[in-house]
Amino acid sequence: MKLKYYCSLLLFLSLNVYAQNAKFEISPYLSGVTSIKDGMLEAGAQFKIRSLIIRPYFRLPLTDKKNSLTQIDRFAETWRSVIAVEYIKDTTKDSEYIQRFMGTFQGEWGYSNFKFCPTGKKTEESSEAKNSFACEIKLVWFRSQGKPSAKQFSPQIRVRYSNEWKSSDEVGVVSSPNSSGVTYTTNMVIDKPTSLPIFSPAFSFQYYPGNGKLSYAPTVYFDLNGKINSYNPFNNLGRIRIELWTFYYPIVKGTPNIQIGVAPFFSIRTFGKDNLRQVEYGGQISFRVGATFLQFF
Amino acid sequence: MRTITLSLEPIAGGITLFYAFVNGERVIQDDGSKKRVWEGQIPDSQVKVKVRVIGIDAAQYNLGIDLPGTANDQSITFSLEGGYHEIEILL
Repeated sequence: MKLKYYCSLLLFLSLNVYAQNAKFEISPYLSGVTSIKDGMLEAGAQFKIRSLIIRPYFRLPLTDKKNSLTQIDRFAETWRSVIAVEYIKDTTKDSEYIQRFMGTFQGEWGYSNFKFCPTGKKTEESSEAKNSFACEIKLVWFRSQGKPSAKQFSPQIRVRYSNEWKSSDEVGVVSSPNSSGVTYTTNMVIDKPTSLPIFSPAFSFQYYPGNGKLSYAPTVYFDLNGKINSYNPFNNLGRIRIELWTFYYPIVKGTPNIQIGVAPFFSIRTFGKDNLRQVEYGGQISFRVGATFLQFF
Repeated sequence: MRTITLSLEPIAGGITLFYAFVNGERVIQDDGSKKRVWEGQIPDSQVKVKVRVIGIDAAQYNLGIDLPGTANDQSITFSLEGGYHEIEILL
């Protein structure tokens, strides 16, 4: 089974571009939030109660990313309703260490109606409604001595499980010869939709040495998927992906927090079969605006 | 009592975290992705405001103070040094 997101591995350099967020205050504890990220429009509200932030929102696709970093980058072909709960504990005082912990839980749900023609005739269309869902946990820790040229560390963990239903691919159906003896082909979906369970834990270690405009983030992903139309993500294919990111932060007045990243990567199949070689390698570039050192996953 | 408004805004480069303290009490603690503002009451006696900012290299941020009668709409841009900057102001 070939994971779609590995299509990007075949490119030597894939480019990820992120857009900015917008937030507007409705009351001291409630804000409206919109963002465009990875081809997805997100819109919703944000409640802040002391160290807890609760964000219910909708996510809608803006572009077709079928052959890109799907699932792992939270891309979904259909709309999603999302609830995210974020907890922050910051122990920084007015001197000495700067230390911060952030934990986020996110649940996603979407409902789609898929149409297909099992008999190969458009007039005999069937449909099935399916629920897709995903959940994700992120833990981010940051620590620095809080003085000039001090090293900065931020280990980060992200664990995500998703089970998303997708329409089957279109195929060409050959018609019966008409009265002139001409046959033609019509493209249509004839198979039922399928779901794929994916489990992807990931660990990254962000590091800034205290001088210069570069930070580093070695990252390991373990991407697992299960058999089609099941919930178990552990019985079909496993790949470990190692990315060695170097980020550059240019100083551009009026546009803070620009982050340009470059990473070689290696992907190693640990079990199962896919259409790729057991070891794949390549590179990635990312360009982000409005992203801080702490925002990796 | 006096009303004071403090603001911290990223200007250039990578700003990771903003902190502001008034007499040792933390009033701003947030990431540096955008402008952060705090408005509150301070006593008429002398008050110590301390700002700590962490980021990348010589990134720049803007400190804004509005204390009517003492520091009306003051704004200063600072550069980090080695990814860090702090300043204390007595008002």
